[in-house]
Amino acid sequence: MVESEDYEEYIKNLDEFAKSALVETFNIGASRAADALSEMTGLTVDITVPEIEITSIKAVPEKVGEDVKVAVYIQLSGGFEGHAFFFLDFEDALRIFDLMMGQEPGTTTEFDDMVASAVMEMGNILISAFANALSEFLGTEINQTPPDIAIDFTPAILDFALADVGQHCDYTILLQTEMRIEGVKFKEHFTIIPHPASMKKVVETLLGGFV
Amino acid sequence: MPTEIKVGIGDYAVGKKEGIISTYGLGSCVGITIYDRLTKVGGLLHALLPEASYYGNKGNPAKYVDTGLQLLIRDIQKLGGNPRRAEAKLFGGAHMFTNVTSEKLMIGKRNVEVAKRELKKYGIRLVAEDTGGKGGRTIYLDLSTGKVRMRKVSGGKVIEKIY
Repeated sequence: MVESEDYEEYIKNLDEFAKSALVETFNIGASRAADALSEMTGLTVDITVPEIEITSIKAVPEKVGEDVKVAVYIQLSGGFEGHAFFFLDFEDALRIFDLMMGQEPGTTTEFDDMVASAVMEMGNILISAFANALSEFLGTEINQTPPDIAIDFTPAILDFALADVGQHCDYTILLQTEMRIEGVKFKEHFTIIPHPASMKKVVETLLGGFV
Repeated sequence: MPTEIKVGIGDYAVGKKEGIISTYGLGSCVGITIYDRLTKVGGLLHALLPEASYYGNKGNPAKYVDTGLQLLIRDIQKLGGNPRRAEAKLFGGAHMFTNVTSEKLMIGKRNVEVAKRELKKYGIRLVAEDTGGKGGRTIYLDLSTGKVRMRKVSGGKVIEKIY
């Protein structure tokens, strides 16, 4: 049996204050991730988290769309449990690869092993920087698995992470992110699906000073 | 164009004689279709987790294979379908990432096992399956024929198969 604390009501009833506190935390993580990527590539990188959305698991396929995307996945455990994904469109993966290689975007036309390993490394750097920021903020250690990559329908990629959350409740948070490299906007999604208990912990740490 | 009912995660739908019931992007989830050829009553369940009792029967019953199947069969009967005469097809149960090794998250395999066990329990024949592996699947049940069209990503390309 899985322990049965009621996260359902908690997640559904997160108020605007708690939500904006979460957005703020994820923005700190995102900006650190952008710095790390910028250091690696020598390019100007900006990543922001404009909003988070609380959504029913049922509606996730409809929200994320059926498109085939490239995804890098890392599992987070220890002080913060969750599933971190970095999504890219095929075309965007190729364009980013060109930027990283100092080539004119459009030079690379095929998603080969070289592109795959560059995307995986990029996802790894982004997620690690994000996790480090979160770890400092929460004052706790966060463990990470090595990265893995998949090319598939977006909901299929998220499925098992939703199954993990779905053991506890029917709702999850979806994080929207925007990334710009050298001023070029990319439709990527850097998504964290936190374990409900970990999300609660972040909110409590954030609001700890005010309660 | 026939009408298409899209089934979300932990959701199901039934219909009769015409239209399409689809579900998008099954990863570790399973999609179960049940179709009675005689009455042309059919339905589709998209389940996220194997057994309700294991997770304390929490939340939406359609997110579990066992309780979801119960709901699907009940609604098929309501439309005049007979589950004992019906045929089932099973899709999904993939394991998307090799870096996921914890038993708790090897959910795809368990979803498939429980789906087969439960179908057997109701005496519903499993006539086709495309399960396991690393890739996701999207399925469309055609209520006029009972045929299931499946889309799958292989080597970065989408391929189609009819079951």
